[in-house]
Amino acid sequence: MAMSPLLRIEQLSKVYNRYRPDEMMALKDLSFQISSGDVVALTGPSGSGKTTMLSLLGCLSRPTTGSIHFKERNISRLPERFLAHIRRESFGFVFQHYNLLRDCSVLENVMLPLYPSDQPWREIKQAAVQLLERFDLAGMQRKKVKLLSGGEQQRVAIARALIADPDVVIADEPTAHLDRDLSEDLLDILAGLNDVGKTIIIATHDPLIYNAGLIKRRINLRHGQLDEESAP
Amino acid sequence: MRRQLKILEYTLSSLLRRKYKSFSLIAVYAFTIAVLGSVLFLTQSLKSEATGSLVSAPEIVVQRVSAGRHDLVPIGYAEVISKFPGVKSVTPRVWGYYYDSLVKANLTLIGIGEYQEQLELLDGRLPIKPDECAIGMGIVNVFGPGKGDALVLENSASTSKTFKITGVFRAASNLLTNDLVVLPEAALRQFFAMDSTLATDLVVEVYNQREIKTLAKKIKYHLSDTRPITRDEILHTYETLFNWRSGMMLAVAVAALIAFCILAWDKATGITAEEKREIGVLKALGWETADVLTIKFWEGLVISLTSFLLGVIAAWIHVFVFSAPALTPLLKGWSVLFPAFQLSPVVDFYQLFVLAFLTIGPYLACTLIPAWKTATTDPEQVMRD
Repeated sequence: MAMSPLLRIEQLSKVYNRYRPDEMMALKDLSFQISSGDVVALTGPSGSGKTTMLSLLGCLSRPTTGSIHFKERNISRLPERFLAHIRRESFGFVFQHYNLLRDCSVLENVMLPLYPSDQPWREIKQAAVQLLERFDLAGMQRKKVKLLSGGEQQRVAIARALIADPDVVIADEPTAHLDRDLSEDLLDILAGLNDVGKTIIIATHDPLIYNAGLIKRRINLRHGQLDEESAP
Repeated sequence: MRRQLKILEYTLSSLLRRKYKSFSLIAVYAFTIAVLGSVLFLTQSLKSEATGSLVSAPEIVVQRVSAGRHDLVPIGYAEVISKFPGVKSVTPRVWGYYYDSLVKANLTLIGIGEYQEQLELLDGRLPIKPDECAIGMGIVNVFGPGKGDALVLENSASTSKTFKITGVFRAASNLLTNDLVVLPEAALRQFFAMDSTLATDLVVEVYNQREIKTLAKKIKYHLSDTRPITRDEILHTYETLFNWRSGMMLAVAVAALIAFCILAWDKATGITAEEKREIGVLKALGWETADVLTIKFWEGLVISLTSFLLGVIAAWIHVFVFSAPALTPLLKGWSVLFPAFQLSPVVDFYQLFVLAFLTIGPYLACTLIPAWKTATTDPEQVMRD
């Protein structure tokens, strides 16, 4: 029996500012699947719809038409509170600009996704401290994020994405603000996550990433449509 | 519960992160409450002083009116009034005002003869000998003397008279006893050069409280040059006076309240880009709209309750510790301006509740509505904006 896909996207479209003069179709009729344990690179030029695609996959916005099935459940029309639960439990997001709370400490930022959970404070803190140790940030728990370097901020963002132990890690242009050495470190981290079974979806136009051995599939977008899908 | 505690912890740390904004908001908010609270406390305290003092005041005071002004009343009127059915007693009272130009204080001099007001002494006894007196706390504060010392007053013939202080009045009915100097009646008559057939006014006691109005009318009917004043009329005058003054003050204070509401609305509706981004990030990380609103609710509650409590404490200190220096000239009026007296603490919890309702409620609404608008938008959209 064939294993069912982790994510199934069917005829997905996203229109911004619908019925307004500045209406813009960001994605049009996209259909593809992502299996558990995949490492997928979403590629394409700027404005091709990569970030929009990640937002839809990560339940940060809703499709205009079409559907997204996560573990065979259609999540595109779920009420907001269920989507919030899925975002917290199943998806870890590493944003292009990290989206950390700059005036909060490193520890607070990492713990943030689990504040509204029923998990005890001590457990959350313990998990956050372990992640910070794993990403060489152990001595920076109390430091405010705004005082960290770009590379350190990114590792905090990754730690935050992993605190709830999600099934899928989504990263938007993760190497956009990193030099080559830090980008290679990041690839190592992502490879490590994939080794423990995490599904990874990366939007990038950095050849260092989509040419890396880590990437199992590449989905290329152009003008909001599927241009080509390949397995390097 | 655990979840709420974590959200509350985040709220407090969030408020501390924006400490300058939070503290400036609390300062403005608390100042508004302090102004409004001061007016309420002062009015309530003055009304309570007045009504408290008047509980033991005469049921009817009969004055004589000549050319539309208060004049001395013949003691013979007492005999006429005492024959009216229902009158228990009529007592002539001798008193007058004294202005000390040196310390610019108004004093009330009253003689105790057969009639004695229910004056409670803090220390000592009432005067017996012609050269003795008892004084109120206000005079002690202005002139400095206490029991055993001498009080020097100058009569209309510019002759100084020295009185030995035998007692000081308690502060319980400050409004009436504060500026009081009590002398033996004969000494007071001599001081004011007052004829022994005249009195300042007559105090009438009745058997039945329900007959007070009827008796007052009867006195006026039979002695047409008199003006009977009932206790209720005095009480009503005090209430009207303080309600009118506090109304004027509140009208001014409402401007402060409106200014505060505008500030709160501006602050709340003008949710900053940073706050919007924070809400977007929290939503993206899996916080529900209800969680975001809970933060904003706690934020609003912490700020408004802290400000309200600080404002009420500030108003209390302003009114009851420092005797409301910013409001006294407006609310007390010229006649009791000096010597100053200490207000007895009185709080009307209904008024405080209304004040809390009118400030905390709108502030919470101003905080929650824009947060709700942002929190119900897709996180992607919020972060993109």
